[in-house]
Amino acid sequence: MSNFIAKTLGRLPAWMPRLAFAPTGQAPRGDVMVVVFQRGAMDGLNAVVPLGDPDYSRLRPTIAIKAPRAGDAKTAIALDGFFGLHPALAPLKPIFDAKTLAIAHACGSPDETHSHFEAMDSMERGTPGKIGGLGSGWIGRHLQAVNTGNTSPLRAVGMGSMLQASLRGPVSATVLKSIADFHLNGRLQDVAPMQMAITAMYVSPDNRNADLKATGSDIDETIQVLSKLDATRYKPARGAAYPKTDFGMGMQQIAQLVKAEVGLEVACIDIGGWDTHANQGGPEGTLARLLQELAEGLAAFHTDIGEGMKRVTLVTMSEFGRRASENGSAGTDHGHANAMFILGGGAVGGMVHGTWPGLSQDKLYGPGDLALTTDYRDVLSEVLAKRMGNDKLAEVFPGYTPRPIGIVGK
Amino acid sequence: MFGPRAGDLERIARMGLDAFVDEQLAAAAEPEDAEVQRRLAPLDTLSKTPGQILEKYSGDPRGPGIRRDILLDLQQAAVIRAVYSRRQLFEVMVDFWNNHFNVGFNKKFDYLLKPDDDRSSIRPHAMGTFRALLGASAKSPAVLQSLDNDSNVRGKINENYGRELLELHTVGADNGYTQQDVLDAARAFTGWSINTLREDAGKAGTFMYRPRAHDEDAKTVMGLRIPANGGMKDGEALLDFLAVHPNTARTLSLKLCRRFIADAPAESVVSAGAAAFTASKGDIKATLSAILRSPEFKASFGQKIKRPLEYVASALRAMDADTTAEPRMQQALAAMGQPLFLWQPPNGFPDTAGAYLGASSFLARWNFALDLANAAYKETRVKLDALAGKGDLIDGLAQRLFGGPLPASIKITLQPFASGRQTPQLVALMLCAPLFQVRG
Repeated sequence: MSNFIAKTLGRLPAWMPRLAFAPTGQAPRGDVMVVVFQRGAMDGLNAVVPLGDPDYSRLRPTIAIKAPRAGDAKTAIALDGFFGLHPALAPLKPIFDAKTLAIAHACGSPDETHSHFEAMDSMERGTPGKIGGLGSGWIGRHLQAVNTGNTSPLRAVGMGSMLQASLRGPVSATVLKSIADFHLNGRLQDVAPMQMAITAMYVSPDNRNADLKATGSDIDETIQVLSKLDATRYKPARGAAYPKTDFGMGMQQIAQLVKAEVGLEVACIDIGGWDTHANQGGPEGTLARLLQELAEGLAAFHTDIGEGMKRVTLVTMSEFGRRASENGSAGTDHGHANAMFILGGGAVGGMVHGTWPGLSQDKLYGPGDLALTTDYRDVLSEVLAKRMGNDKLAEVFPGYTPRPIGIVGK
Repeated sequence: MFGPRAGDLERIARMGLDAFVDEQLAAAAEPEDAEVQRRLAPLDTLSKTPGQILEKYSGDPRGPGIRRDILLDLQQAAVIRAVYSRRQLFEVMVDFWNNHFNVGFNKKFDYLLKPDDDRSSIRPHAMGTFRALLGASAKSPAVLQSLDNDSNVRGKINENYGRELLELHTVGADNGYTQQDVLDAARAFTGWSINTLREDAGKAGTFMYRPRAHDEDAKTVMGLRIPANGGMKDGEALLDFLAVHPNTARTLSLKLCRRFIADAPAESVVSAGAAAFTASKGDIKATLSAILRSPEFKASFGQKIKRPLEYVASALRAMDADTTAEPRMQQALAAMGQPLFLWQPPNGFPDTAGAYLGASSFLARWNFALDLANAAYKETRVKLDALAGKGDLIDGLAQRLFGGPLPASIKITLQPFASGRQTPQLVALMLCAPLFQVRG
């Protein structure tokens, strides 16, 4: 399909190669940034467990993760003498040990809301605490602030079926579900002229709907680029095994785009199901299965990209954490601060960053939540400044002065 | 309301839009069309209680895999009703409330409970009073389970239902309540639970109030004092209060205006809808009447981008298709970003265009159009030759699909596809066109 359409339309992909020295007015391209959003609010206290906090197991009599015991795979995995990983996150331990995985704890959005939707919205806009806030997302503003001269339709990609709010903005981002399915159905000789006709209708001055116009040309350009990838025959490198889930398949496709050098700068992907109000389980159960899917997806990506991880930075986030004490149904209600993972060449890895506020009654926040000591914008600002060549952070997080915690290196 | 069938636009032009709105408001009280009933007949889990569904599938080796059958019955029925029901406004409202009170179909046993929720909570009250609908929802096992209220008991509060009742079902997010209000709202509903299979196989999956699980201490929610020892009256009193609260009126009016008028509707019509809601003590028809007779509604045509269900239903209606809304068509809807009944979070599918304009989702619309015109759907028949009528092929089809002629540049683009043998391609392109993506 690729050559045929390229010839038919007489066009070449418009994206530019990576530049060592950028022309005037342009910034050199930095890392590829991958942002994983855990929708529903991950229980950070059972993911990265504060084993050294005397209140932890008291607050969670049935669901607490127990301190590491040799030979017992249902106990935590020791990280640093204070924190331990949930056993289902075992695939991340070698990466932590290799110092390419960093963790920030007691970290997140300072927004007071306990509403998933308000919290996600303000976090992705990058304007916590402000209802309404800006119309664009924090990544959208980053893309606008940093002109890398990259006009690829795949400069910014949202995996899934809906554009992540963080990607909203004047730089159009492409929402991609499946690379292999990204074409018109039918015989090539029939669909090529139809593709041209459809695009002509969308870009026509008679189409006065700007959103539809943008979508129509985005699809056309994306077909041009993706038709050159042999998506159905993609084999992950070094035996990397992605989970056979939407998240796993999404991570694999991001890896494919990274390796194909199609101009990708930012990719967003979601993993849902974290709203564990009831029976979330301890070392096994609902939360364990989610953590396993997350860890396997991240570990497979890490293996698949290999050396290339030096130019990739992956960040995880979730709208808020969960209540420090378990509720009556062996689950956890909506909380406040959480844990974030940073994976990649730039991560100051092998350690848990941030200040631990403690879980004693007087240290808990609001209705009994882990207090926040690091704003998620501090972490993101470091990534943008040190890895993505962004020296205009005030445009990304207006009115906020980031306080770096040293979680990412140059 | 899911798009015109042949002749609809002419009929509305003759009778006037207000008369059409009145006709649709009145039609809500009529029984389901015989044709719709005939088309729904094969989807047999629709009419079953959770117990009967379990009985039908007893011993089925797939175990929870039976959820696919139940899901398809719900999904196909939703499309069939959207395409064939004369009660178009009613079916739009059923879809609206199914999203407003969204349940996670794949959460625990909700797949057994959702058919009953759709049939017994949503449909009977979709155009009645909001209080009755809210009350039915609060006792709907699918909702209670989806929001964990079946484990919300005295001394072990689970605040999920209490929070979403305030945030999503009534007054709106962070709109006049505190964390303490959420907690007390949850306490008011302690004991609102579900019969389990072990307790009573005959009533499994039906609503059950458990007095001993109820927290009998006094509560205060948004200033409403609920005295001690009220039992089930606690929850009812709170529903009475929330169902007519001014913040509820405004939140619901905004959502309805977003559905019917624009992604960001004008304040004037939102206020008018809220006022009608309040004046009628939460009558859904009266609220709809205010919104649908407004000048803003009349000026809204061509503004709102169709959601996937609307897009699919409008194409099938315009083409007078004979369809079962087969599984493959449900996959197409999923690819467009709207897998019916499968939105997982409790807030329902988004009702703004941005959610469905992603490249992959939008490309799936074009592929639906191609597949439909190329007869790739095995249980769907379209008589393409009969569509255009006599005279110019493009003009005839445009009249049918858009109610008028196409702009010149679009017609020129389509001209090469207008020879006799290429009708499927021409029809597909017209369904792909930007004009067919917006509500006419």
